[in-house]
Amino acid sequence: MSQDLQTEKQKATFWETMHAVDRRWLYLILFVVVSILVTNPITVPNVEDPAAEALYDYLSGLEEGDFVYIENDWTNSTRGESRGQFEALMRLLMRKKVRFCISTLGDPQIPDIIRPILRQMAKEPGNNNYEEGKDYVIAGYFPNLEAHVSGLVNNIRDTVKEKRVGGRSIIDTPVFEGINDLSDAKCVVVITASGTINLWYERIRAKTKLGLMCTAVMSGENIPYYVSGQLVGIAIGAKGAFDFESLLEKEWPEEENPGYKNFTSGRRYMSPLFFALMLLIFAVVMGNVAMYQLKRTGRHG
Amino acid sequence: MEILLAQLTVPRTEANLWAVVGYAGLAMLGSALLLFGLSRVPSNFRRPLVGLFIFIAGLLWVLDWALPKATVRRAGGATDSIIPIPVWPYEYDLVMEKVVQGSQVLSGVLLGLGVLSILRVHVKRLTKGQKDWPFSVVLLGSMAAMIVIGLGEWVVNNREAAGIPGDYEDMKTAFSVVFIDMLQVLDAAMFSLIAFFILSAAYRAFRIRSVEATIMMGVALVVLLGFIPLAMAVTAGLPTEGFASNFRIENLKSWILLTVSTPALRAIDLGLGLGLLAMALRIMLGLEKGVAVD
Amino acid sequence: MLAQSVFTPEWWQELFSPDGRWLENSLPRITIGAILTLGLYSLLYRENKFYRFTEHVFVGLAAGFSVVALVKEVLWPLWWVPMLGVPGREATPDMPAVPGVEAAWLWGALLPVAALGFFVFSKKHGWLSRIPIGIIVGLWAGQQLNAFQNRFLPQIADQARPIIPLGETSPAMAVNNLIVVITWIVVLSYFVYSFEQKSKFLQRTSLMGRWLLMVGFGAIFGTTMMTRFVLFIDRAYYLLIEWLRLGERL
Repeated sequence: MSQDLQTEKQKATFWETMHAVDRRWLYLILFVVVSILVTNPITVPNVEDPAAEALYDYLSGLEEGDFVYIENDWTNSTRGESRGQFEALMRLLMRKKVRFCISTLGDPQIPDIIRPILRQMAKEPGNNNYEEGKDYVIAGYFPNLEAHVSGLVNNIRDTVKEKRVGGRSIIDTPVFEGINDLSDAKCVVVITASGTINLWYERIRAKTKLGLMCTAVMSGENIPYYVSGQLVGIAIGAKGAFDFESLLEKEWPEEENPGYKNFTSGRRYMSPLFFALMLLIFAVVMGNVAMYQLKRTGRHG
Repeated sequence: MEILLAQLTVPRTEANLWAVVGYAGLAMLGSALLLFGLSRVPSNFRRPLVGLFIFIAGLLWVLDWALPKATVRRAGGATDSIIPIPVWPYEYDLVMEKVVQGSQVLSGVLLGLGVLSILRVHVKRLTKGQKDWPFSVVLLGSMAAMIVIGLGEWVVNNREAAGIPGDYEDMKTAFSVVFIDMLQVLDAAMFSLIAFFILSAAYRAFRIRSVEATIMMGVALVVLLGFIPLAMAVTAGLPTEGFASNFRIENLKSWILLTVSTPALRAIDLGLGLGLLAMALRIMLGLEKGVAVD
Repeated sequence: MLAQSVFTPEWWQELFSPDGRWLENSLPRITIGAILTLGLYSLLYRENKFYRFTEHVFVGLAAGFSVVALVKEVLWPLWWVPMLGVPGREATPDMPAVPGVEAAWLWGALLPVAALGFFVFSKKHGWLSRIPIGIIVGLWAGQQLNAFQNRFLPQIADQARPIIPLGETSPAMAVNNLIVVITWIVVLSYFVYSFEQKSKFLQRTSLMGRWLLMVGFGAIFGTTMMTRFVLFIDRAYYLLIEWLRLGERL
């Protein structure tokens, strides 16, 4: 009987220790787990999400010379998810030779972040040496969100005409040739980590299609708009980036197109993400088991 | 309207710069005098005055929504030439273009209030030698460096675009270092700290003590795993069609998101939307306290 | 994997070499960013002066950049240039012709209105700052009628779904549609506060509404976890791959 009591005491001490573990050990475990998988990623085949596939299929169906308006509202704070989405979208549009204009509402840093990315991507094989001022323009930052989106919907040319590239207004470039109204754009794609997509739901008046590439945290509140048909498709988080990368690979396989780059952060981050989430689930389970055990032995945590 | 606009704009040449500066200065002075006059109104007229500004600003957009629109607009070749369509609300669109542009400038300047606030706090800390004043030196120094280098790079880019010869590489490199290798990196690192705190919170605070908590954690688990290809591999053995395919983790996730989560979150969203609409009407009609003068 | 990594002399030589030191993505530049990142991460061990220093550098740079962006993205193109105009330029052998911009000098009247916002710091004249703020708020309020109509009416319309398996509606679709309709009604009933829910039926639907709300919150919770971890994974990639070169780059 005293042996049972001793074992019971040891268990209680063990669960007490588990319950009161220093959080810095948890941080270290997370860092080690992620580090191992970032340096030694595991590649797995993908099952594309139907909503992301819907967006890809619509954009892939565009013809050379079509125009797409892009609202790009992410910064390096969400680079892990948003940059992969942005790069995959740019590769698709460049390979399809679709003209685009990028503006931003979220943060004044964004134009300076995306410019070097676009310059680098334009040099990749298959991306048709895209040139700012000829194939695409960056309309820059607009601080008043509501007024800007309303302005774009009512009169796209006058809303962006003050922005310049190469000494001339962006609406005088070949990118805006034949674009007199937002309905001349085949799609508006919003890449965002904040609620700026709501401004488009409220104002677009079905003038053109609306697509969304968002961080995973925003997916819950935006999937209803995909279900109701207000969005033509939605790419969610790093998985959304991976979906686009997989679909790019299906359309332009890297084996058959030497030098083509289809996979970037989307696929790379999937395996560390899986193990990090397993660690999270383990932490939740262990925390609850520790609480339950302490309650059972009368030592409340 | 077109004639009125023509009188309010002046074709620019190299010779008439100072004339134009004079006109703009007059406009500033006139506006300042008008606002000075408004600032002298008795205190019991302040709330109605601010309320009037709010109401007119709101009315502009209400009219934009209510008035019928010309369905087709075509722009001419040059930047500002517009081929008019003989429908009278068309001219209202010209008003709204200027309202949109003006509100961008207004919003931008008001954003500067935040920066001014930071300056006030840290300059005060520095001049009065309060606790942690060396860190205020760091902050103010960083701010000054970014302003000088950022504006310098902008000027340099403009000069290069205008074809003015010069050595611009040093300034461009300095901006690139400060913006890409410092600001962007810090921005990303600050948000990434949350992952650690979430793990710690998951271990210490996520307690499944009720039916609601169990449902929430269970759904979170399924949705999490349904997004990860490695997790999908676990149920990859199930058939892709038929009733059994519903238990594939990605299909389970889709079903939860599309069939249960969507209407639930939609209901919350609708409630929020109705609340926002009611608040907007109250603000426009001056019924909301704390928006105009208290 | 370890060629040119931090464990090789080549890495250290590249770090201290003066050649190409300030080129984009050079090792010395990435090292600056890595040190600042580690400065922020030092908070995970405990609060310290290195973290405070890095935090203040971040706030200073961000505030400074707001000013830069305000000037180059807003004040210059949307106010200064339209106000003073730009003379046109004839074509030269090196540069194309540039059309002029007419000077709409009345934009000068906007500056005093915007400047009123700075009276927020004044106790006596603070009310004047309500004018520009009120204009912005009023502009927002005026758009809400249009906003509500465009955003929510399609959502409400989508809720009207066939729940009887007839014609094109299969039994599976009918069941799913029924779940969608019931979920929406039941969750809405949870938010009815206009009267006390005394009847057992209302109380039970309200309870079910709460449970179904938890499904929505669970979905949001799960996806939030994903986003937060990806942010850290991206930083780990930056430190381990881009800086220390312990693996293959993207």
